[in-house]
Amino acid sequence: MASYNTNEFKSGLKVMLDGDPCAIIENEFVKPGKGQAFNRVKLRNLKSGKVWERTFKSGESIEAADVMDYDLQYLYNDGEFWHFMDQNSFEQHAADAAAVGIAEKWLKEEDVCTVTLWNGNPLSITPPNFVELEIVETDPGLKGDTAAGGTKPATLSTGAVVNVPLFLSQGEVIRVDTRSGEYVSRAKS
Amino acid sequence: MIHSDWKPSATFKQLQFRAELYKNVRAYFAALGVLEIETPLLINHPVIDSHIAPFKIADKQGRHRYLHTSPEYAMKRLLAAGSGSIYQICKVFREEEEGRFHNPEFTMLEWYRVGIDYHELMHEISDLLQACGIQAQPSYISYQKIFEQHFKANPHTINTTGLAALCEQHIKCFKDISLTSHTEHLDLLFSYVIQPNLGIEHPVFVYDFPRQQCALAKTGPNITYDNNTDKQNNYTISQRFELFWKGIELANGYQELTDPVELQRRLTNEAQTRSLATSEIDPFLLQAQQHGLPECAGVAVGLDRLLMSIQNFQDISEVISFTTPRA
Repeated sequence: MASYNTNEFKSGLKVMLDGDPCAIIENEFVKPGKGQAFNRVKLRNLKSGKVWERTFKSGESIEAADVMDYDLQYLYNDGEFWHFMDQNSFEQHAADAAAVGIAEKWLKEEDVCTVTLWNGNPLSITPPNFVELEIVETDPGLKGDTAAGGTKPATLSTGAVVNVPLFLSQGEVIRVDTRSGEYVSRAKS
Repeated sequence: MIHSDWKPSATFKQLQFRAELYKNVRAYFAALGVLEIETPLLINHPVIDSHIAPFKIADKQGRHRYLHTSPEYAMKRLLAAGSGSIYQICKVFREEEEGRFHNPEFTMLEWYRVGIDYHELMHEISDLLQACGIQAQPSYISYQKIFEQHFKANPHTINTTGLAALCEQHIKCFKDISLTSHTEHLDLLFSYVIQPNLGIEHPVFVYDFPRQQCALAKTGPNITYDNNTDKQNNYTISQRFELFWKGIELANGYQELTDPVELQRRLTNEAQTRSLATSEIDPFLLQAQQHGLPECAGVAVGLDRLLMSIQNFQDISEVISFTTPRA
């Protein structure tokens, strides 16, 4: 089984810890001049998203996690699984609700997402940074009110709710930043 | 590799600052009458220290040599040969030490003063810092006192079980760290809990370390009076000090061990913990100490880190022209 020595630790490295795949976020080498060296490591548990802090004695090894990111196209949701496809090999992967998590509200069919596979199975889904979605429900638009700066909630086709400027109305397509969940602009048609 | 990696990681201002520091250090020692010397970087016998790994170099004949990890052994041989007080500024090399505060190749200022003790040496370092333009006056605190401030326990009398309980209390997921010795527990507590807060305002000397951490320092009795129990405590301490500034360890000094029998015993112990043959122990050092090391105190100062501390830098690459990844 592949493993990494503490001197190979760097941010982004995927390792197994307590049976879960984790990504190293931060690795600090701590060493008294005349004493035992330690690696103080922050890791993100890729299943739960939680950040762990652990200490290893320098020189120890830990098991590598078979975790890779792929750009896969979102196809459809069958009620239980979200299906993604590799556009080169046409290989499909089904992600469950735990893997999709909060990405669900940004998934639009045919968009290309980053799918993290662990031992070949989807572990987490990262939607594109920007998605274009249609407003399916919002209060009627206020014509001409483009400068006041007020906002109102709007429900999008995926079920996501974002605050949009008052002048927008139902049926319009907007661009949203999925990292912040904020409205960016009207989609260019 | 990034496209700009051919460029130095430190600014020219930093390189000038370093040159200025070296000039001040040399002027200080010249005025004091301490001789600047050089010793080999390429050596036949590695340092025997369970926590320091030397780079090992093989030549075409399959002979092994090492890059020195500190000039300690060679400088002690000069002292034994009668050099009197000496200093040097040199590059040293340590394998697998890389991080914000570590580069595998770094610059050390090491000096030995014949006839003065480690307390006097601490004050001399303080003078040197002043001579280098550092205004902040250092303070002095014993290892015991700083340990008691943090943990309400005596580091000289606490047993390993007691240390493990303190680690459990202060260090996240401690149970997952496979510590094997008393000193590893001390190292963990010191570097995680005490050190980050040391010398935030001004440099701090921590002196008189637990006897288990003596390295090549003399050990001696430490007698204190305990008001609570009305008893006199007498235990052995290592006559060593370290200097910290802004949470960074800058220097490590000893009242140097002169007893050749004790030296051989300690090096043999260390060799065993590192599974090295005792034949690896530097015979020149042993012979030199048998001939007689004068009573002296010595210290090594990490100059890269000193430059970092002076300017509040958080990464050693800011003071080194080319760190190892760019070397």
